[in-house]
Amino acid sequence: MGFKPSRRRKKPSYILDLNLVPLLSLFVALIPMLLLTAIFQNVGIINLYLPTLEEALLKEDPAETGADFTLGVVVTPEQLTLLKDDEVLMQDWIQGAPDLGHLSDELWRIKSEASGKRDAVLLLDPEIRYETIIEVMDAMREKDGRELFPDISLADRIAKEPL
Amino acid sequence: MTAYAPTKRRIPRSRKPSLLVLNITSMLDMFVILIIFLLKSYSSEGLILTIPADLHLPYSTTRAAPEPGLVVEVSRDTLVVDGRVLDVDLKEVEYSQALLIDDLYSYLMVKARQYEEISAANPNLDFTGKLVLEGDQDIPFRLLKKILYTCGQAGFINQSLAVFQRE
Repeated sequence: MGFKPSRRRKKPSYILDLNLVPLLSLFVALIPMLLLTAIFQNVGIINLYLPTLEEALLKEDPAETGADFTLGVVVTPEQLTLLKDDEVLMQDWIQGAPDLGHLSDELWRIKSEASGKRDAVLLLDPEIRYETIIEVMDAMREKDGRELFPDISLADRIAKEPL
Repeated sequence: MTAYAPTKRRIPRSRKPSLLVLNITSMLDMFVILIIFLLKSYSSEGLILTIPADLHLPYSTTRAAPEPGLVVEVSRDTLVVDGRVLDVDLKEVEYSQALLIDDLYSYLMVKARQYEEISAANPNLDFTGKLVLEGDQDIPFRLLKKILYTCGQAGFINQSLAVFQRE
């Protein structure tokens, strides 16, 4: 015994489908083009700051910017020191990697006191690796997107410095 | 109640093969994702700096884009200026007392003279002493300082350090 045959009239079935083939050919052309121009590792630069003679002579009025001091960060394999002129503001022992968060916090404090100051000197021990130099410079340049001291000069650590 | 029996009539099968439709929707999904990803990393200006595979630049948070200039590549054992490998023993340089690297200095002077001649002929191209240093992350400051000093002595005072941008 079978089922009762349907009395509904069969509609002719149309295949409802978007024709995506032109889109596909567009994508096939686009993808190689974008692959050729894509840069997966962005390269940036850090400008080193060398004061020219004119700049040194025509120094901004210190009273205006409140920046009448030299800011120095000394990095040795053992210690990370922050100097304001000759006064030691911060001194950390380095265990493994330097504590750059602490350095940034201290620099932030100085920046809020002397907002016009932009330059700092990074005094380095000959042993310091390039990677560490860049990391310390990053900590000196900005903190959480706020600019600290972006004009950084590199210098040799003076060996007789009391550390 | 009426009983229905299945039809005895043979239903003729269509001889025509059905239309073959390739389902490319899922492939297009993939392409859309790929295109978005590639558009994100699209750069219209191209690479100004080319980084050799054996050179590991340090990572930095800087957002400054590279500018064209004389490129000095310092890997662990070779020194390349503007695509030319200089015959300089970096290990020897590293531990020498002299701050000036003679071979690098003489080649940079040749380059500086070339730049000056070009800028004399074409006032639009000023010689700004722009130099980009691509240094390996492992080189010590002892070596870096000598290279930067030598470049500065040769007139390349507008120095910058090339780094990889951290995401």
